[in-house]
Amino acid sequence: MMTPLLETRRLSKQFGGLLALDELSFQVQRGEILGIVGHNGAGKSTLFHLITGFLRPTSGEILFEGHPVTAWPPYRRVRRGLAPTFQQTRLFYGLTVEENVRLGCFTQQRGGLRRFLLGTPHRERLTMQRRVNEILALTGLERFRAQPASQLSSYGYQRRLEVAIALGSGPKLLLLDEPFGGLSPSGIEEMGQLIQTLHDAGLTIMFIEHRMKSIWSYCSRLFVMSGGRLLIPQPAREALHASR
Amino acid sequence: MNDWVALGQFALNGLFTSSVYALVSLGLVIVFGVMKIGDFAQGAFYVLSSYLVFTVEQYAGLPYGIAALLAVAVIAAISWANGQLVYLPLRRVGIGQTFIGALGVLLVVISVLTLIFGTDAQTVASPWGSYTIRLGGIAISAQKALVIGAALVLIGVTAFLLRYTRWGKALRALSQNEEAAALTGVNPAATRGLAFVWAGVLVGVAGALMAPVWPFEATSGTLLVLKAFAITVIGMGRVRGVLLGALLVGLSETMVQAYWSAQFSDLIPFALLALVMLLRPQALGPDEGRSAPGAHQVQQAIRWPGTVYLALAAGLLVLLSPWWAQMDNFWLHLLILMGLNVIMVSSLDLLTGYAGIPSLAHAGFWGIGAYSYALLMMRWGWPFPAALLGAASISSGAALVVSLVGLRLRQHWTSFTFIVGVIITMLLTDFETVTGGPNGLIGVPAASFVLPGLGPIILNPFRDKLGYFYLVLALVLLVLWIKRRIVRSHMGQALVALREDEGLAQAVGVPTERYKVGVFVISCGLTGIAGGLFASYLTYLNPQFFTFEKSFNLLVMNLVGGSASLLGPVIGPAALTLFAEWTHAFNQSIAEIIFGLLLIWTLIYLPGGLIAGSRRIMRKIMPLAPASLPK
Repeated sequence: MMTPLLETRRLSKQFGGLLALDELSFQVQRGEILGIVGHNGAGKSTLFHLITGFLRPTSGEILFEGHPVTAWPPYRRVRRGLAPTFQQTRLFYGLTVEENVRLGCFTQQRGGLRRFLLGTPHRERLTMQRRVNEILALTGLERFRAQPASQLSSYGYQRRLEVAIALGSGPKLLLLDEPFGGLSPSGIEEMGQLIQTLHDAGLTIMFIEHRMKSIWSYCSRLFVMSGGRLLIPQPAREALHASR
Repeated sequence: MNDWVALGQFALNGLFTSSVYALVSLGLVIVFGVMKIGDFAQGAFYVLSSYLVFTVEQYAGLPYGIAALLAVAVIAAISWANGQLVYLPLRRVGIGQTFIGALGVLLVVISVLTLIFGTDAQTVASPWGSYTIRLGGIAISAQKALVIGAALVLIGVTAFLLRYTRWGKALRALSQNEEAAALTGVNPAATRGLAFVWAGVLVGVAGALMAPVWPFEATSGTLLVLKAFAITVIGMGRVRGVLLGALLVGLSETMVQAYWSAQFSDLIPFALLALVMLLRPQALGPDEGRSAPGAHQVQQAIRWPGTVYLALAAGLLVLLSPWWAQMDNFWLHLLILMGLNVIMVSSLDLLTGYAGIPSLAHAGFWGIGAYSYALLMMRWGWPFPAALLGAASISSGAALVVSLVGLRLRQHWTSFTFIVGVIITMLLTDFETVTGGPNGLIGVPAASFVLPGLGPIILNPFRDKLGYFYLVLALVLLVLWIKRRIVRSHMGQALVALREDEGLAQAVGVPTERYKVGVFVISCGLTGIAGGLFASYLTYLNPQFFTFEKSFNLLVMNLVGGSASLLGPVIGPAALTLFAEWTHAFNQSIAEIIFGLLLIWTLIYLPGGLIAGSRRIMRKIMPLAPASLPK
């Protein structure tokens, strides 16, 4: 059997007297869209931060492509192919949409003394520009490219830009923290379509969400979290019925 | 005198010092609660209060008590007006700018006082004469006892106001979360206004009561407010913490002076502060905070002049050489000073403008470079280029240590650099055996090097101004080129990401800590070169060149010129060096008043600096087709 893309082994996180995650083990398989839902305080966000590396677990292990990454800082995980977004939208607000995406591509660029002295080779710059254009097209943000991110009119576009930034690093696994939160019904649909498009392009996606109803149709598998544990994983449709 | 009696006497003296610290620190805490800045202007208001008592007594012939009450009322009003006219408009621009504005007000008030009263220390006679209260073998003058008493009463009243009144509750709500407080019916404007008034009252009382105790001069409040700021951070921004901090600092200062030496006692508050920062960085009061998304200045996509332009500029400068050659020494001297400032501000801009890491220690690292150069040349006889590189390396090395320590502090970084700057100056002053102490070093060797084709060159800073000018110019171009390469490289991207949002920077794969340390080390190394060059040009060094005021000036040059650009940090220092020279021609104090006012004006009305202003004007003169921005 192929190694899973992401795997957690008996992952626990204790905050003072509160056990936010209780020996949680699960796997993300290549090519799936995995949703994790749960009410507030179920431990979703804690799990998310442990996977992205912004929190360290009290015990347990996280493996990415079979390598233990438990002690890695966030930026190393990003380089390895694990790109996160944040629950509360975070953008480089002072920069334009295009510059945001370009910074997202940070790991795709190279430094070094030669490039420092002579500048980035023309060919590399072209490749980079093409990459930025592709991401802008994919996320439907092309016509806003010169606009400052802080002036993006709708919240839906800001969330898209967030995904666009995360795509820059060329992730194998895209981690979305409540991507549908705060969106209008049409915004939810558009975000769902974007996720579907990215999935069709070969990306593995994992997201967490607290509302199940509007999003179950976008994932291939759905976990329900409660009290720091996972309830039995099921295909999305059954999970929805079970929760009723 | 019995040992125990002596100890008691020292403890009482310590309590007296602590009372003064407590009053000023409480004022700072209250303003910090609503503004999130250390209100350094209070240091000037403190002395202003002393001077008001002095003036009213001297010229109106009113008794001390009435003079003191008047002074307190006036200071309260001035503190309020300062809040409304300077801080509130600046707050809309940014927290960093408000902080700089506070320092600007400090500078202006001190200069006004110097202009009116001169630099001689003044005294006010105590109404109680030399009456002393005796308790066993312990004695205290009536005026000092009054200070302690007044401090105790005012501390009590302040605590009561904060805890039990509507205003106090509103103030505490406001310091937690402004929007939420406003939603619960707090009137932010009125609450803030009262906070400024009350801070003024506390500091005014301190100043008025201290006037008869020690002779005072215009700058007497500066060190006091620096210490008070250290105490507010030690006390973690809470009233009880600040009182404990004031007591701790006051007592330990007195004891160190009494039993050890007065040499290092001024370092104590800052050493304690450094200790607290290292041990409990997470507990240091409220965050300095990221500004809200909406408040961001939108950074224009900066069009960098290409290498071609830089080369053209260099060519132009060489073509102009006959013109330089016929310049008189005065202008060459000015150009050399400008060049040194350009190097320092450009390197600072890399840190402050690009990476968004403010530093109030930049002049300190400049000083480390200068002293390193001098010592390497004088003690070990290193050749000039090696000493210059050595100066840069030692500056960088110090920066490495400082940034590795300071990184743990995160949001308290600005205060930390400020303390580092103060400590560097104090060390340069206090380690007499190495640095020559307050007298400095004399006879620093000038530049000497071998140029291929021209043979050995020894530059005499007094006669070969032209040679020095070319040397400085070459280094300016080199530094600008390095800066430009960094900004355009992979590292430049990382720095911008860091400035905009550190968490998000990590999420796109930027090892933020490494880049923070890296840019700090590079920036301080570049300024170290300027330090070495400065030492060789001036041929003597003095710790007073490298104080935090100089760091402040560098920040001002950066902000006035325009940050995060190549030309801004060239225009800013050039304009302000010229300006300083022009105004110094008539009066130092007037120069500083104009400088301070201009600074505050620029901060409020020209947030992007001269470079942004000139771009705007250019656009009006030659309107390009505006970049079409779809809605």
